[in-house]
Amino acid sequence: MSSTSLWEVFGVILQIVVLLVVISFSAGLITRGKNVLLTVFFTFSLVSWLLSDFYWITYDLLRPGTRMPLAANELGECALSLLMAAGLSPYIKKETSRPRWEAVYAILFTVANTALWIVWSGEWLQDIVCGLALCVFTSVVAIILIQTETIPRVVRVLLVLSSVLVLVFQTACTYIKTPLTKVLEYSSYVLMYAFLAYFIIKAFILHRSGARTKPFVLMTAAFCWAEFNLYMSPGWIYSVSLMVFTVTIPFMYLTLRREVYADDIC
Amino acid sequence: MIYAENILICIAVPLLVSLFFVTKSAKRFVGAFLTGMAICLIGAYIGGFIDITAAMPEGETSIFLSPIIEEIIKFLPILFYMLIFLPGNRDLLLFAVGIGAGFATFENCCYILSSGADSLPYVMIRGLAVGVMHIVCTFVLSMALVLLRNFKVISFAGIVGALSLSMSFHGLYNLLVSEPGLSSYIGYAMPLLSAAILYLPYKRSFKNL
Repeated sequence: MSSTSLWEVFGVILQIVVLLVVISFSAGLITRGKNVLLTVFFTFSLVSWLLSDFYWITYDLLRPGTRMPLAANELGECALSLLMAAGLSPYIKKETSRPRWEAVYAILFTVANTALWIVWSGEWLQDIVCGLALCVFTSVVAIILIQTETIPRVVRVLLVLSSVLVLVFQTACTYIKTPLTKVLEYSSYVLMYAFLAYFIIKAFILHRSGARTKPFVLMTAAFCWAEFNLYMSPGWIYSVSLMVFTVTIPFMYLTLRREVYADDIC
Repeated sequence: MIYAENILICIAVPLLVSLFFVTKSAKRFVGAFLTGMAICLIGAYIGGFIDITAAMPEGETSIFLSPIIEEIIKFLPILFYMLIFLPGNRDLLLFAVGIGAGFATFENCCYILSSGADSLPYVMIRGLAVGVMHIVCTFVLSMALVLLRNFKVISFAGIVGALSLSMSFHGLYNLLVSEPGLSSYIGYAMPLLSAAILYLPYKRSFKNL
């Protein structure tokens, strides 16, 4: 087993431990009966990700080196996206005055990502299934980010520009092999991590200042962004992205706990 | 070779007759149990067909295809019942448990008839692991449906998400028990443990819904 694979296994085991702890705490929130919908769907989502991790580890141990077709691993990831989207859906306010361009852009971004995953992995079915589920989650997160006015207009524009640049850089790296493409590849990760850091730091500052909904929305966006980051990373960057993704989970729980105690929806 | 249709008739007839002598919840449960057994047979037909069409190596069908097919086939009557008969929460949960129990019972009957029932450990594993696993899967699914309906957020995403969760649970179980040794012991313990864990939130929160 290569050192990169070992780091991946270590990352997944660490994530399992973190998930077990966070699930036990969020299950505690359910039994206290506050905003049951959000806490139950958050817990169910994490359980599905936990099952996916268990499946990945078990498959790696029982059938090392064999191709995994569409399996419970991907279904668990789909369940996470869809259940998160279902739990967050009460936050979406009905408005007819304007088209939801943010949702359209989120879907286009996810579709473009899915196309790149297919090019990288060659797995049509599982990438399309996962991509569709992620489309739902991303569009819900985008709508909530705009409706709650969590990020200012300048940051929104920068976010759109950065995500387009990430896609352009990644596509260029896939098809053109020159020394410059390595620079482009790393630039795309810098952009991804910069926005991830922005979401987490802003959520932390707002959380410290006593805000309720906005830190939770920001951490949900960070979680979604970290998931994209994870799927587009190869080799050792994947191991780093896995760790970063794991870090977002307890932070998300902390913001959720405050949001649940606010109990201002449902 | 076993004649699954004949086994179904043999088990279903007394239950069908009992429907005339029971009322309300008992009738609903027996009806769901019968439906569970019938869909188990239909699931076996569909699984067999896809197995031949996909031409997967032996053993891989149960790991990769069966969880998807079986969970969809169990999910459809629950969804149908919820949308057409508009049952209360307790009735929906009862129906889902009946579907899972009927499915597991018929599957166990067929396995035991084909492999023999002389080994008590094997029979115990079939009953406590596979049997409970099907009930846990349908129960989780119905819990999610109840929540979605109660909070008026019933959506395609929520329904498919709950279905994917039960599929991944089933898939993980099938993968764990596919190889002998430690992994299979973990797999056999998983459904009972999950049932015990699920019971706590159900007792505290769902009973009041």
